[in-house]
Amino acid sequence: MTQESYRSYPDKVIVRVEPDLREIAPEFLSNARDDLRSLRAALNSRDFETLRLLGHSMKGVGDFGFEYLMEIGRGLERAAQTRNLPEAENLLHDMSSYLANVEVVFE
Amino acid sequence: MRILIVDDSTNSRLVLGGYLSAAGYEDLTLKASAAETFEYLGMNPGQEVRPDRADAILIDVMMPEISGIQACQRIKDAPSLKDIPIIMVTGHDEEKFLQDAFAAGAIDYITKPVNRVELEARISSALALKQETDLRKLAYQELENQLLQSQKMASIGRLVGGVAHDFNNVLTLMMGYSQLGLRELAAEHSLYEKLQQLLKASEHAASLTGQLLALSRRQSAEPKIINLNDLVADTCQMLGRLIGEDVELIVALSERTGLVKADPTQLEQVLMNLAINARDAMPVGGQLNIETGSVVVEDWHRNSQTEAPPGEYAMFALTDTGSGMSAEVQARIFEPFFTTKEEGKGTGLGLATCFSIVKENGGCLEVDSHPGQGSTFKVYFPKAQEEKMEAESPEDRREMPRGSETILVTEDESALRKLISSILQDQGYRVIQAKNGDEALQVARNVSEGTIDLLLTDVVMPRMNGTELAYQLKTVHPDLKVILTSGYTDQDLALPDLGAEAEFIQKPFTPAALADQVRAMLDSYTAAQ
Repeated sequence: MTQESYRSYPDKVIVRVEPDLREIAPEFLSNARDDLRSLRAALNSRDFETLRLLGHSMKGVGDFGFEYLMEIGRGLERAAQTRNLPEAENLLHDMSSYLANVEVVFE
Repeated sequence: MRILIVDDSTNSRLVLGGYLSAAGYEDLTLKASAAETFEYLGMNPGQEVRPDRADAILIDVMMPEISGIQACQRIKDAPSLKDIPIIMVTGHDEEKFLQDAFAAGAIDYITKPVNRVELEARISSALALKQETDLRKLAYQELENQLLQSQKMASIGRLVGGVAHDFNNVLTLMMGYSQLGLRELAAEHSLYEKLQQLLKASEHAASLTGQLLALSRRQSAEPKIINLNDLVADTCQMLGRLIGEDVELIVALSERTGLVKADPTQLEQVLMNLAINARDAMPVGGQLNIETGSVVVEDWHRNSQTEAPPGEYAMFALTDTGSGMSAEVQARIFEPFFTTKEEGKGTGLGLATCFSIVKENGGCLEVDSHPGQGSTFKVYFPKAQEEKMEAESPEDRREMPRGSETILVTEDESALRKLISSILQDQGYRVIQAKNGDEALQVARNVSEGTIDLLLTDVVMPRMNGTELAYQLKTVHPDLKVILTSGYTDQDLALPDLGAEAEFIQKPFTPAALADQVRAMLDSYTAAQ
C-alpha cells in the first residue's frame, strides 16, 4: 500500500502478523509511538541528525507486518539527508495517522 | 543456551528477541549499548568476568559512542570471553563494515531487516560451534590433568629410581653375604636358620624395590601375570576412602577367579573409575558390591561390543544400588564425552577410558542396568596360564663356576667392591680393583703380567661412567669382555651398543648369578677369536 492510500483512507488499517509474534506486536507499536514523539521533537528543533538516525533505525525493523513503518523510516532518512523539512512533516503526519488507526490481526 | 542481543534501537531488540523466543530460545538478554554489555559480562575493572552469561552474541554494527565492531573487538580480547561466537547485525548499506567486523572476530553477520528463518539458522550454527568449543576445552583440560599427573609420576619415578639404586647396592651386599655365610654352614648349625631368614628378608626387600621401580614407570602398559583377587583386594583398600562413608562396600572374592595377563595399574584405573561412577549414582548413599569370579563364556551379551572370543574368563563385577540407567543411556555410556552429569561436572571420559583399557587387554566390559534398580558393570579378562616364575628357588648348593682369568672390578661403593672381589677371588680369579674410571685406566696401564680378560664395572659412576670406561679400555685391550652392573634396568639406562662383548647384570644379584655370568662371558667367543 502506498502513502497515498493511507492519506485517503485514514479510518482503519488492517495489518496481518503471524500468530507466534502476537506478544511483540503491541509493544512494537507502542515503541513506534514513542519514536513519533521523538521525531516530532527533532523536527521542531530542526535536528536533522536525530531525524536521520531514527529514520535509519526504523527502516531496519518491522518486516513481520509493519512494512509501512519501514517505508516511513526510509523516507525520513532521505528527507533528513536532503534537509527537506516539508517532506519530513508529511511523513510524520502519515505515521501519526497510521498509528492512530492500525489494527493487528493475527493469522 | 544463553543468547545476548545488543542494539540501541528498542524495536530492534524487541523483534530480534521476539523471533528467537518464538524459535524456542528462552534465555535471552537484551542490552541497549556496548557499555551495558561490558557491565553485564563483567568486563569493567573490578568486576569478575562472566563467560557463563552468553553462549552467543548478536551485536548491531551501528551504535552511538562505542560501535558494534569495537564492542566485538573488546569482547574477543577478553581471554575468557573469546570463545563466545559473535554475529554482527548490519544495515543493508553498512556492508562495507563487514571486513572490519570479521577482523574484529565476528564469525558471521546478518543484514537488516532480519529474516526470521535466517536468524534461527545462523544462531543455531553459532551455538553448535560454542558447544563444540566447550567440549574441546573440557577434553584439553582432562588431557592436561593427565599430563600433569604423568609428569608428577615421572618425577616421583626419577626420585624412586635414585633411591632404589642405592638400596640395590645395599641389598646386593645383604644377599651376597647371607649366601656366602650359608655356604660355610651345615644345615644343622644354629646360625643357618637365622641366615636363611636374613636372606629371605633381603630378597623380600629386593622384590619391594623392584615393585617400586615398576610402579613409578607408568608410561607404557606392561602386561604381567596377576592374581586378580589380590589386585581387587588391594585396590578395595583405597576404594573405601574414595567412595565415602555413605556407601557400604561389600567385597566377595571367589577362589576360582585365577590369573590374568594385564597391566596392573591399568586394571586399578578401571576398577577405580567404575567405583567412582557407582558412588556418583548414589548421592544419598547405598551399597557397592564388588565380586570376582571365573566364567566360561559361550556367547557374549547382545550389546557388549567386544572382539573377545568365547572361552574362560576371570572377571570382577561392580553392582550399585543407585538410580540405574535407561536403555538409551546404556547404549551411549562408553562414547567419549558422553555424560549424564550436569554441565561442568563430568568429562564423559571415564567409561571411555575403561572401555579402551579393557579392549587393549583382550577383555570385555558389560553393563546391566534398569532405571530405579541400580547398575552392574562386569569386566572380563582372558585367563592366563601360569608362567614359570623366575626361579626364586632356595639357594642351590651346587658348585659355583671357577676360573683363573684376570678381572678388573670397578665400583665406587667400596663395601660392594670388596664383596664382588672376594666372591671372584674365592672362585680362583685374579682380581684387580679400582674405585672409579680414572683409577681403572691407570691400573690397566700398569698391569704387569698378561692382560685383562674381563671388565666388571658399575655403569653409574661419577666423572666417567662404565660404558665410557669400557670404550677406552677396549682401545688398549681389544679382546676385553665387559659386564656392566647397575641398580637401574638396562632400559632405564639406554645403554649404547657395545656389541657382543658386553653384557648387563642388574643389582641386586646373587654371588651365584655373578659367578655364572662371569664364567659364561669369559667362555664366549667373539667373531675375532
